[in-house]
Amino acid sequence: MANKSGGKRIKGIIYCVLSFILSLIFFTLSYSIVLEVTLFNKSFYLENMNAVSYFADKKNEIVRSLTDLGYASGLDEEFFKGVVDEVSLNELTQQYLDNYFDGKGTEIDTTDFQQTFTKALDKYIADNNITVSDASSRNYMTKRAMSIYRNSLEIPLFSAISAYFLKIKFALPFVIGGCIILIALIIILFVKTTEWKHRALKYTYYATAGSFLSVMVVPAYVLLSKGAAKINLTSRALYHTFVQCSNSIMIALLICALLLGVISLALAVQHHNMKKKVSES
Amino acid sequence: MSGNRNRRKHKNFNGKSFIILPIIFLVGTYLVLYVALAPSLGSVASAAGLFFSDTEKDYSTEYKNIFVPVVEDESEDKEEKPQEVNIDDITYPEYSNLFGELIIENCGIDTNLFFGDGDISLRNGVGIYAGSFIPGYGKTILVAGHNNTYFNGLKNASEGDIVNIRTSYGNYVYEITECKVLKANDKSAVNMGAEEENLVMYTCYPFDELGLTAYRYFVYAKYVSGPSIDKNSLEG
Repeated sequence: MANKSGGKRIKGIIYCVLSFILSLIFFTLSYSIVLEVTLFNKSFYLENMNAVSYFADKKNEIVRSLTDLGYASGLDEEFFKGVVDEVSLNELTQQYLDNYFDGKGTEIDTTDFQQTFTKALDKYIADNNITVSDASSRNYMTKRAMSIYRNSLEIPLFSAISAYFLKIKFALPFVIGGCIILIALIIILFVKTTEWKHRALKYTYYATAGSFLSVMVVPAYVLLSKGAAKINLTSRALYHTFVQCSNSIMIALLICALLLGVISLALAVQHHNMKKKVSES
Repeated sequence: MSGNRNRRKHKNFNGKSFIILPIIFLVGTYLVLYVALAPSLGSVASAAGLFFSDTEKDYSTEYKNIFVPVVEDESEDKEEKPQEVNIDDITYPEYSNLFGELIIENCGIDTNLFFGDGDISLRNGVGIYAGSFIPGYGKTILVAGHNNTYFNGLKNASEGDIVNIRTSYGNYVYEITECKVLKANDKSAVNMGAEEENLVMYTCYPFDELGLTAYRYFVYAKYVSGPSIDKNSLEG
């Protein structure tokens, strides 16, 4: 008798451990899916950029930086307003993201901008009859303008983390697939090895309820504390984009958590009904 | 009877375990994450600390204005005007703070004075190089400005012109002694180790031409009047 109850206890502990492992797998799966459709999806960036008028703000920032260059080199503020346009910024950003996600690096092609800038500069000099100090100083100014334009379009840290980013991006689908297989295996194990099928539901409920709580913690904390809004970025355009992306990711995680919550509730109710039937029989 | 008691105990435990175990799993999950990520957690947290501040960033203003003009009583005798100001009574400007005004009437210059010579400062006025000193400190004050905006009037500067610098802790007067064109990297252009108060203003040269050049137009001015900062309370 003692051996039988001891064996039952050990079985219960093993099922609880498996349930905890299942909870960890649900947690990993939730985060992996959210990251796959957000952070590692280039459309996610472009959609959020459009949502916060990133390109309009970015244009203003570039014009302002170029105007500062103009102040140091004798160019009027008005000159720079016609040199930068949102359509080009949009195209270059898309190209930048395409290259980044394809592992082709983070170079930005400033050829078009250089041509536009040089043409506008020649016209400005001719129209206003301006004296140019010398060709080398004009070239230096042009190169500085290219540099400002290129640096403004780059996303900070992207090039620094590109190797890790691409590796994780490659591995994510396998992680998701592996998690789904493991979940299926553990649930099948619960169903096949438990004497009473409502117990399989019970252990699955523990896993889903546990992962509901653990998935919910991070987005709840970040959204309630408004942590994303406290990032220190010089660029207003990037700041708004970062906050928007961060909020989108947190909301996606909350949705995953709620889904797990609903599943665990359904399992709890089903478990209760099945157990009642067993008790009555 | 004991069978009923065992069943009740079992039922109670099951009911509580529906709440307790998920909470244990929550704690367990983050414990596992902590153990797995502990080696890199410290460096990640430090890096994150560099990127995040305690408050939301305010993009509505470019700079902070700490300048409150000192109103001087014209009837007051010059000798009665305060000769010293306690360093504890000064709000020392931070980088990119607007903390004064610089006026050269003969050159048509009346502009904001910032601490720091970054883009924000030079876009909105003229700026003191952060490696130099503020007026009253008894050392070299190096002020930069763009030649086609706020310091365009420097091209008209000549010996004997008066420069007024107004700050929240006192008004200062300097007299221009010399103007010259030097290369930007000429180390003899400015004496940062000078032991007496002096003002050096500089801008790009030549004026009204296009291009970034290697030359700068320097205007030197000697101290005439204004309260000196008493640094003894700091040293004490």
